[in-house]
Amino acid sequence: MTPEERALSALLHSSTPEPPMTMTGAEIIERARRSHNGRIRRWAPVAATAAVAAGIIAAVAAVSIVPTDHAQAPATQPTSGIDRPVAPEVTPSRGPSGRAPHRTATAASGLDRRPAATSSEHALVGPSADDRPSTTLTVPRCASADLAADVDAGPTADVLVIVVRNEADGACVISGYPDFPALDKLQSPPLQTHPVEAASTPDTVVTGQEPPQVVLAPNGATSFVVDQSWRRVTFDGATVPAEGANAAGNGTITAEAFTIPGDPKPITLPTAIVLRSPGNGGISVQIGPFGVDQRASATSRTAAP
Amino acid sequence: VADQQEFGRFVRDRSPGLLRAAWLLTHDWHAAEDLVQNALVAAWRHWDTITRRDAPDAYVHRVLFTAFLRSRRRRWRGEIATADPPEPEPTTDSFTQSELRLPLSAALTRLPPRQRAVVVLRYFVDLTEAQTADTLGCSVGTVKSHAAKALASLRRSAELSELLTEEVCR
Repeated sequence: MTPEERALSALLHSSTPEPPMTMTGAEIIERARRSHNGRIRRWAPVAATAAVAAGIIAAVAAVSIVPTDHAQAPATQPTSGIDRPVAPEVTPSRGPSGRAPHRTATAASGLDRRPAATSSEHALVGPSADDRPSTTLTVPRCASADLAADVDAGPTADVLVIVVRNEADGACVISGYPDFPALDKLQSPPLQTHPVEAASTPDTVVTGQEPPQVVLAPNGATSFVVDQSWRRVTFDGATVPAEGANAAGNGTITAEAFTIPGDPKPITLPTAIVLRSPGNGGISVQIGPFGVDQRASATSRTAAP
Repeated sequence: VADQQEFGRFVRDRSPGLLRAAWLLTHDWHAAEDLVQNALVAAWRHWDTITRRDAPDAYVHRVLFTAFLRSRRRRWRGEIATADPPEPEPTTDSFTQSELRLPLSAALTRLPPRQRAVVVLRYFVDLTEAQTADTLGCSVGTVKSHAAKALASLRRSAELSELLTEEVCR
C-alpha cells in the first residue's frame, strides 16, 4: 500500500461509526429457518410467498379482481368508444415503496384516486374506490430479508425482486422491484393467459400501438389483463415495463400524482402494480419504477429500511 | 448444536465489522443491516460447506458485496419521497469523528458502486487485491484500476484530500 492508501485506510477505520444494532447467530438461524426451510427457490416466489400472501388475499378479498363475463359485470357508464363494463380499481394504500403508510409520509397524501373505467373480454369487477380496504395488513410475520436475497434473480438488471418485509407493527408487506421480465417465470399452478385488454376511459387513453400503451391520467387508475408476453404500460409519457404478469391474469396499475414543493406541476407516477392469479391467490407487487430520483431529489429522501 | 455455536460466535465476532463495511457502502444503517443479515443467512445455509473450505469470511463478503452491487443496478432502490423527513438519528460521535466522516461519506457516495466496493474491501476490510478480485468476481487488474480511479476521485475532494495529507504526514 502507498502512504496515501494507508492514510485512507486509517481514515475509514477511524471515522466509520459503530453499528447501532447487534445481531446474534440465533436470530440469523431463526430467519433462515422461517424462510421455508431455509430455501426459497430463485424462480418460485409465488410458492414461497403463498403462505404470506394468504393473509393479504383474505383481507383484500373485497377488492380482488375476478374475471367475469359480460353478464356478470356491473353496468357502467359508457366511455369513449367503449361499450363494455367498468372495472373499478384496486388502490393499495401503501406508498410507492410498498411500505405501510405510517412509515411513509409521502407527498402524495390526499390523492384523488378515482376508479377506472376499462373493459375487456374478461371484465374486471371490484368495489368502488371508497370501499377499498387498506392493503396495509397485519398478517403473520414473514421472513423478509431471507426472501429478498433469494428471489432476487439473475446477473442482469432485468430481474424480478420480491421483497417480503415485516413492518414494525407486525404487518407483512410484499413489495417488488420494477424490472419485470422475469414475472412470467412465476409458475404457480398453470394459469390462463390473456391478452392485454384495455380501453380508453376518462382516466386512460389506449393507443393503437402494439403492444398497447395505456396512458394514465393524473390520479387515474386502470385495470388490465396481461399475458406472458411483454406489455408496456405508459403513464403520463413515461414507460414502465409491466410486462409478463404472472402468467395469471389480472393486473392493476395505480398511479398517483405527486406534487413537489415549489413546483406547481404534479408528476404522475405509477405506484403499484397488483397482480392477481385466481388459482393461487396472487401476489401483490408494489413498484416505484421511474421518476423516483426526480421526486427524491426535489424533496427529501428516506431510504426504506 | 456445535455448528450453531460456531455460527453464533462467527456472527458475534464478525457482524460489527460487516455492518460497518455495509454502512460505508450504503450510508444507511437499515440497508446495511439488510445486506449483512442476508449475507449471514446465506452463510448459515451453506455453513457446512463454507466451514469445510475454511472460508466463511470470504463467502459472506462475496454475498454482501454482490448483493450491494446488484441492488445498485436497480432503478428503484426503495427510496421514497417524503414531505416529513425523519428526525436524524442521535449521534454519540465525538466531534472529531463526525468531522472526519462527513467529507469521507460525501466523497464515498460520489464513487460509482463498484469503485466504492473496491475501496471498502481494500482499505476497510483490508483484503488484498487478489482477495478483493475474488470477492467481486473480477480480475486483479480490474481491482487495481477501480482502486486507482477511486483514489483519484477522492483526491479531488478538497476536504478529504486535506485529511489524507494530514494522515500521511502523521
